[in-house]
Amino acid sequence: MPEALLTCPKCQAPLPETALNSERLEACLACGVPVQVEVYPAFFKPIEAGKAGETIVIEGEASCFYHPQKRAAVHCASCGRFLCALCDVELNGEHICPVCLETGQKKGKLTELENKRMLWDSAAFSLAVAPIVMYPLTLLTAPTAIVLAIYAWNKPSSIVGRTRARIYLAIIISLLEIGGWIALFTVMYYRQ
Amino acid sequence: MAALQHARLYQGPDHLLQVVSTGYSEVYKRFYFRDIQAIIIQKTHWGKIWNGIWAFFTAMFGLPAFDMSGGQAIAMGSVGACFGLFLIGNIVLGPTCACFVRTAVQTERLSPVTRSRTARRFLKRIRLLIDSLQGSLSREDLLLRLRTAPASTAPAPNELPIVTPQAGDLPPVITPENRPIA
Repeated sequence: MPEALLTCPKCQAPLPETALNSERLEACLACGVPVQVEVYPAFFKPIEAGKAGETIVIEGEASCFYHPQKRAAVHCASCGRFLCALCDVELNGEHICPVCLETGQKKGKLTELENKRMLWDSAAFSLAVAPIVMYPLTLLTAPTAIVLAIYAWNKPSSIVGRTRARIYLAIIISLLEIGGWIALFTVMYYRQ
Repeated sequence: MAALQHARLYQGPDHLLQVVSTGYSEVYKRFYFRDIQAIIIQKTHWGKIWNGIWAFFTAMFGLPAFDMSGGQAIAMGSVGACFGLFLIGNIVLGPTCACFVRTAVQTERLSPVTRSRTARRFLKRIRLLIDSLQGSLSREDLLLRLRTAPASTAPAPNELPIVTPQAGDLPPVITPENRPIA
């Protein structure tokens, strides 16, 4: 039965009908864990079959750059190459080729495909703040944090957007730490 | 590392974005509203377990404070009160749950949704967004479609169509000659 495809997340047993779109928790029949399920129309949408691309029938017809024997259906929005239906990758309403897709993902130009990002501003801030508990370490970490903060200045930060506050704080705190060390060495020098 | 991770959920124009942050890097997962087949909320016992833990430490530090006096009593009582606050906070936040998003290819847990109250608010909000893209599905319609549809109509997440590539259908290989100019 199709409803058997909706299974309990804990024991993988089929969920009871009473738990589906009922807006309340119902116990799983197998493990007894209260579960609430909300199903949407996409559940019944069949997976679309991929297109293989049409073979060229009329000589002289525009062909795909990667499959010369297949008819060109669209052109790549990034590089302009002609693409058959097989090579066409639709992303946010644009048609691009697999090569541009991979290149765009590697270079970070396609933010829709980005799934990981290094936060250099957070790293600089952590490097400035965390070693304070073991102050001698700040002799090394403070200058490093400043360098990292400068490096992070033009680097993209979180995808959800935030200010440069962490960079500013990292620089200020690191400068204060360096100032503290300079003051300490000065006092030690004049005491001799 | 999992203990140091912090997860947040954002609503995009046409998708949900889950951001898992480790402090110096972030991992993103997107769930497009048009692809969401179901949302499953499962009640968990972690709320009760944490209630027990906080209650234990509250009693462990708070009860001996009554037999002590002076600074010792204040110190022990303060620690017990801290744990007591954690206990009260956990009770106020309400029962815990796990929330899963199911699409055609995966069933993924939404880490930021851990409380039943949050899950209900999340469900109420996302229902409107999904209904605007997919249309609504009442309980009666759902049961009717489940009973009348053939078993193959809704494929299981692991049963994707198998496509055997033909000679001319192989995906392009990236070589120096076909790298994009820009």
